[in-house]
Amino acid sequence: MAVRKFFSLYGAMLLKNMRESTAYKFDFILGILAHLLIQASSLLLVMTVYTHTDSMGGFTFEQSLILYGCSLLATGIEEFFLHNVWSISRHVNMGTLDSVLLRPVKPILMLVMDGTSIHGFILGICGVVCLIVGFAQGGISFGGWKCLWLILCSVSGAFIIFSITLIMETLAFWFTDVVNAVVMVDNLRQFVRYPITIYQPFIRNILIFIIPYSFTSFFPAALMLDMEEYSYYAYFTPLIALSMVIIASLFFQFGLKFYHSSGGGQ
Amino acid sequence: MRKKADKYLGLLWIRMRASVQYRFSFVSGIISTLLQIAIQYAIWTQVFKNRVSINGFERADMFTYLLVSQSLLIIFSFRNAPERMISQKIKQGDIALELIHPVQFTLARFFENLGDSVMNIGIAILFVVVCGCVFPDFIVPKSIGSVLMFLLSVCFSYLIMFFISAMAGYLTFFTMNFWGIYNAKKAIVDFLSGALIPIALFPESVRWIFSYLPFQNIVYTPVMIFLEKYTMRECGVQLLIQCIWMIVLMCLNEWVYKVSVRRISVNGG
Repeated sequence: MAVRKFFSLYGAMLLKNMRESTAYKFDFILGILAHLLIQASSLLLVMTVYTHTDSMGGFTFEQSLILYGCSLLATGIEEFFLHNVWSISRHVNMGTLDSVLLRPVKPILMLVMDGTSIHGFILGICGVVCLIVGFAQGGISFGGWKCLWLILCSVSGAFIIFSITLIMETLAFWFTDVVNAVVMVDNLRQFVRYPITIYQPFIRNILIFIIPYSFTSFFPAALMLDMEEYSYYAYFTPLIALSMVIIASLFFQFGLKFYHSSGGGQ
Repeated sequence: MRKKADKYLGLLWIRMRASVQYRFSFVSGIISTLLQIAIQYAIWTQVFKNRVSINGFERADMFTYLLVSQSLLIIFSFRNAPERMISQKIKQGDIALELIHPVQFTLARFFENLGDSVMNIGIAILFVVVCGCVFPDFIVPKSIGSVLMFLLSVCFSYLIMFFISAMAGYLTFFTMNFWGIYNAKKAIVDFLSGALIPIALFPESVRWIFSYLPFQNIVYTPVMIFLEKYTMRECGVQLLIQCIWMIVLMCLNEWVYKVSVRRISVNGG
């Protein structure tokens, strides 16, 4: 469908969801403060670790900060724009996927459009702050080339996260209790907030080759930090993102064939 | 008296049976905990490469701290959060019905919560025991006294956690939705209770804040007792502090409850 139409629909959906979130004002503000506190405490863990050591997996504090910022940025973008992919299993289980299928928009696009979380926006901001502090304090160079690749990798990273989640969610067409599995895989994402060099080779390989979360934060960060051994891999990120999106979408289309409506519909 | 007890135990029993239904979310919760432990373990292993001890904590201490604190979190995560239940009842107006019931509202919620927790408690105990047998690094308390004090401390922690959750639940009446308060409470508690990082590892300048708040008594105190980092006398003092906080929070909770109920009655709900 026409690109312009897609974007205008998307914009409308975004506004709708924002209004929904801010319906309960005080609760909304409290939620934001809560998320900021959660981020602060995670960062505090990193800072506390660095008061007792100079290097973690070969990363200094500023370097870890940049790594952390990269992971927050990718996560933030995914959570803000693409988070509705999490609702697929719920729709399939409750049979409410019908209302999505009936819309004059491709189901996958519809699902992607209808969900935005302000949480993502906050994460993104926190990520940018981390990056700024990391670059400034670490005295690391930053130029147009890096800026371009940062944006490219962050967006690609968001799509990688999206694709992995989509693949897991598609399993809902065959299994009923899939949400827990999705949550488990998503928890693996926590691993890549820290240098993957600190983990055993077994875990590291899973995070690179099987569930490529490393490409959402570690390799882009290595590129930002001019780390020779790893930065080369960052250039593959957009390619990996693209292929994963294609694979995930195809898998979803395939799964759709198995969809049995509950008959009730909405 | 017996009749009264039966009512509350009945609530506990119902919840306990219901929690068996949530088997899978339960298992995934355990696995998520294990993943958390794996990450923390990897991080702290790096730190201990160059140091033998940090602020009195050795590698084995840290490892044990991680395992025991995460086990406690399994218990305290309150799957069917009291906040959610209370706020649901308030939102749906069921609260009027509940107030007619011949049971004390908070007490009823407590027993429901306990029912939910039974499975979690069993798993947490199993977890700690298995770790104790499997990992050579895992420090096991050497005296029965320590174990008993640890268990007592955990009971106090459970109550403290419950009262905080219940209060948060009543406060949802003022914010109209439980989500914000739930996340805020979770964030504050996770951070200040010593769940992520042992409070002893924080710089001196920050640590005094923790001692004035009830949160460190939820995770930090019981685990320190487990690690036998306190002398007998210090243990006694810490248990007393927990007790005091428990009573303070209970009174505070009753006060918030009364204020909320009055508000509802005034609104004619």
